Amino acid sequence: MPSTVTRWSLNIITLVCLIYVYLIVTNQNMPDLSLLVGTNIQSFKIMFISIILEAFPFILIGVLISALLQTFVPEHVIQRLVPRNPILGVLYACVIGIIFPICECGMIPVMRRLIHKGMPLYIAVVFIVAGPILNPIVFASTFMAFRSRPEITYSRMGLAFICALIIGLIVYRFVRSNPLRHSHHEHSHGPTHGHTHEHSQEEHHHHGGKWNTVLKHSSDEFFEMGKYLVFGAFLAALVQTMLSREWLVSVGTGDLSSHFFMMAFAYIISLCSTSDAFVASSFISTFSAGSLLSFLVFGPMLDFKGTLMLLAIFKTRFVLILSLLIFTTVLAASLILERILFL
Amino acid sequence: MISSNRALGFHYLIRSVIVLSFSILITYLIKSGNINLYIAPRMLILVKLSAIGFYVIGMYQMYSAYRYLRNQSSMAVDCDCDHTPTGSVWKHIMIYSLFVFPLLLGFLLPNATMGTALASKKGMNLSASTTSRTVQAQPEAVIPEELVIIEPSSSNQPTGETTLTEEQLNALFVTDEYNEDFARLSKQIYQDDVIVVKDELFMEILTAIDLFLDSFTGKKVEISGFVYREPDMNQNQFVVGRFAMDCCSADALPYGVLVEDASAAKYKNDSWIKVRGQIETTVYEGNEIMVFKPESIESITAPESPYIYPNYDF
Repeated sequence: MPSTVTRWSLNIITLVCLIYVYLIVTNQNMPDLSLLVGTNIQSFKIMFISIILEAFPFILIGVLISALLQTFVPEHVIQRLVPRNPILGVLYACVIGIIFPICECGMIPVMRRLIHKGMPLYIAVVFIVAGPILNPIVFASTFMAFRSRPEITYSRMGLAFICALIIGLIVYRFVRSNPLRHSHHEHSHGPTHGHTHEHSQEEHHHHGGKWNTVLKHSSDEFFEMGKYLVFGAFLAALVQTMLSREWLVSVGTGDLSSHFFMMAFAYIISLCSTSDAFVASSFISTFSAGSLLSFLVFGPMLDFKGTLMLLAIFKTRFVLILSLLIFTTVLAASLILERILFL
Repeated sequence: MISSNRALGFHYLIRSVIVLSFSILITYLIKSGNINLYIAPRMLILVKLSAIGFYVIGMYQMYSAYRYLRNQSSMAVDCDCDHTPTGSVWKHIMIYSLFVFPLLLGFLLPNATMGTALASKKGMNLSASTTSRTVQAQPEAVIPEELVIIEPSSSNQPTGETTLTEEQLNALFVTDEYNEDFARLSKQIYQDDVIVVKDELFMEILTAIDLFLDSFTGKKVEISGFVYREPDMNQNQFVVGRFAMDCCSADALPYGVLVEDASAAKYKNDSWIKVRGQIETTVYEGNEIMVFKPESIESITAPESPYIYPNYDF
């Protein structure tokens, strides 16, 4: 509907003009729009394309596994695989990453499928937060990045485990309502399936067989999850090109504020958990070990592109609550660990 | 039903074009060698696989588009889900342009290397090993006697005779459980007349030198990289730097060495040079860091692979 667009674009232009008028009246600096020219657009391109290229394989693996689960694994099998006891269930979800080492881009589509197949929500949440950290690839890369400080690697793993445990149990205890987005939300996104309704196995038998279905589901889901990924990568690249690290560092020095800073930084740059240790190790001269741990644990659990992808499966309210829960748990745990280990 | 089939057909057509374009973009980047500018070699295999995945998905979408556009309405009811596109046309345009945007950037903008512009955003790291130094400080303090005896004799003749005994080396590069690998590397490179900071071991060699800076002072080195300057640097100072990439450009960080030379102003930012000089120490922004005093500076062309990659098993 063109009229909607016209109306909105008018509103947005008015808003931008008002902001500029305000800035002129109060005699402040104009926002830095030099991004639009020359080297900055090059830098932006490098960041943007590289984040996308790096994440694509993982999201493809994710949608493929999800489509395979959808087509070949009946619900009762999954329900049988998950322990009944919540504590056992959470523990089980914490360590599953060891045999299932993919990062959150791949994890989220798989989890959505599993929830629809009847996996309890708290288990899926633990998967989403623990999976990207508690796996052998991340362990190896962290160990290499902090070659001379192996205790950071062990603390990262331990902290992630503890946080995932706490988060899982809190979700188990307190979240009663169904936080999944309903199918009509999804249908508004395009010609994709509303994956909230379950197709039984047999329904897909006609037309080309099961592999056809797998392909169909993977390609539909790629677009559904991919748009969040691309948008997240877009924002992350924008921030990386515009804000200098020195400026960020000058904002975030101090005992507690360094934790906040490192977590915000992890959230914004949205790195894959397999490579973030390397970035963290470049901060070791400026930041305390505790705040680096906050970075290493918080980033994979929650970041820009991850949040957008979570919004694709969960209701906004639940995503907000979960984000807050992850934030407080990681902050508290890393502060405590810092007191015990590094002071 | 027929009109919705047509709409679906167009959706699949657009999608197949987008997905196939991604596949072509990746192939194009790999063929032209420019993929190195975005992705580290160890990720390459995954990216190649994703190109194949995109190709398969793209062909499938193309096939679906063909079937819908031919109005084979039986397709539309192959399961109970509602395939009809809902939401406004503009919303779809928005979503598809989101995917088209990186494609346009990728195909239309020339490929560039990360240089000074990004180095200043990401912050140049001038001492590669601040990590290990704090840890290393204590053991060094514990065994001062040996150091006092050996050090003067070795620094008097830093190059020349390279036949240092095992004990002399051990005393120069005091090992603890954390810097074992770097101490071993240091002992190796210390024997060289000129320490060449090779691409394959760029960060490792710089870290080793930085860790044992006192022992390396006076040694000759050779390093190549791009020229970079901090805003507050003197006329005679610049940095020779390289970007170190772990997985992709987003995690790449610039590492470099400060160079002090009277002719510094001749070398423009982002130009590539090879510096041969002596290792000294200086104080920069309150930290003691290494500085290279060049004997010769040579302009070179940017190498095929401008970035360096951390070497996990040296």
